[in-house]
Amino acid sequence: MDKFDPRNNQQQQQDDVDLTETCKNQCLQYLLGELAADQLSLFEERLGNSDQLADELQRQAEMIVTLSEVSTLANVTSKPSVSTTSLNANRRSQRLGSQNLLMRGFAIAVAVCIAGFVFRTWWSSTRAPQGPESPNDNFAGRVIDDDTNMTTVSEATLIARAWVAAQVDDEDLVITPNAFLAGTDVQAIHSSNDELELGAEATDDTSDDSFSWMFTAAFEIHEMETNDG
Amino acid sequence: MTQDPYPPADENLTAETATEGIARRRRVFDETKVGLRFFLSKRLPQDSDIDDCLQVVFVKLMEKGDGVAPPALRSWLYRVASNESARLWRTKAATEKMYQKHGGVSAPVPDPATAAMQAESAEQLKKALKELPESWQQIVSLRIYKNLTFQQIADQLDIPLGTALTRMRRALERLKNDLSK
Repeated sequence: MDKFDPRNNQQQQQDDVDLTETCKNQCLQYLLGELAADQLSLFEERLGNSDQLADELQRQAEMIVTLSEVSTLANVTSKPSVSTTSLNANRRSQRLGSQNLLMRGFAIAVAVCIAGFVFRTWWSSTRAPQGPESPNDNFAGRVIDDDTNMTTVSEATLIARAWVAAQVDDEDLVITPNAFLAGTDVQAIHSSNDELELGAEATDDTSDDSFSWMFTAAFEIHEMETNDG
Repeated sequence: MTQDPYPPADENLTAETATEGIARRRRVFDETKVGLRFFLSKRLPQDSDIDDCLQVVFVKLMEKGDGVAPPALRSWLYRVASNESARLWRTKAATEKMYQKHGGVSAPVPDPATAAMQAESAEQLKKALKELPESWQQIVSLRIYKNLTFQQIADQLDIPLGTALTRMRRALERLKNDLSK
């Protein structure tokens, strides 16, 4: 390395000539670590020989560092605004989160209510024939079926079965469908042969729910005959 | 395309551990040491002064280098080396005067105006950055703040490598002129 060699004007001019655009670009590449390895040692050696090159390198280095410091400053000064923005965003998200939580809770409550209503409806429908809740089945009860299965029968069925049992015991009874339409008075069936009159009475009374046991009884008898036959 | 001339640094640039940062700074110093020695040989009269200066540069790199953006680390080393060589000259001159006058030693006094001047320069630089042609701003932003290589920038912008280098260099020259006004 030559140090403090007095430089004449000719050498100075040579330096100026040498400091071409390419040379300046090499400074830039060197400072930013992009100079090719094969050019690196040559450039560094030249750095020790040329004041112009050293000065150019120093100028570019200064500007690059200053620019990077501006970047750092920008980061520092932008941090509060960024943090404020993020803080506001966090607050907004917290508000939205609480609103979402309320909405979610409300939805769950509604769903529970609907589920409860559906369940109650289902429960009522399944319990209707058994429970005392049904006003038509206050006298309903359990009877043991022939097949020893516990079945639930309605009041109409019980009456019908009792009536059928009584009629079956009376072997003289001839059961006709019209007889079921005659009314509640069994004796009337025996005593009356006027089917037209009975039919007329039936026409008047078929709308009465209290006679529904007769249809049930007819169905029971038909079932018994089918099973026996 | 208009870009923020001083956008936040790329997160990737700061996403390194302390150990990785130290290793990276040491590697950059080792790569730059030869060039720094050549550079200082023009500024300091003795090899011992160059060695002292390089030692100070290394210590400062380890102490403060983590705050320097990676793309500017090599440039920062040259700045520190230049400042240290100047300080060494001043110290020597002051010491000689001191010895001549009192025979004592004085510590270097920090310049209180330096921080204010640097802050003012930063504001000026921001303003000057915004006044650069957009194509130059783009190169500066991509190279300094996004840490893309010139080749990557050239590929991305579909321009020759020499054009990217020249735009960057001219941007630096323009900024320096604007700051010196």
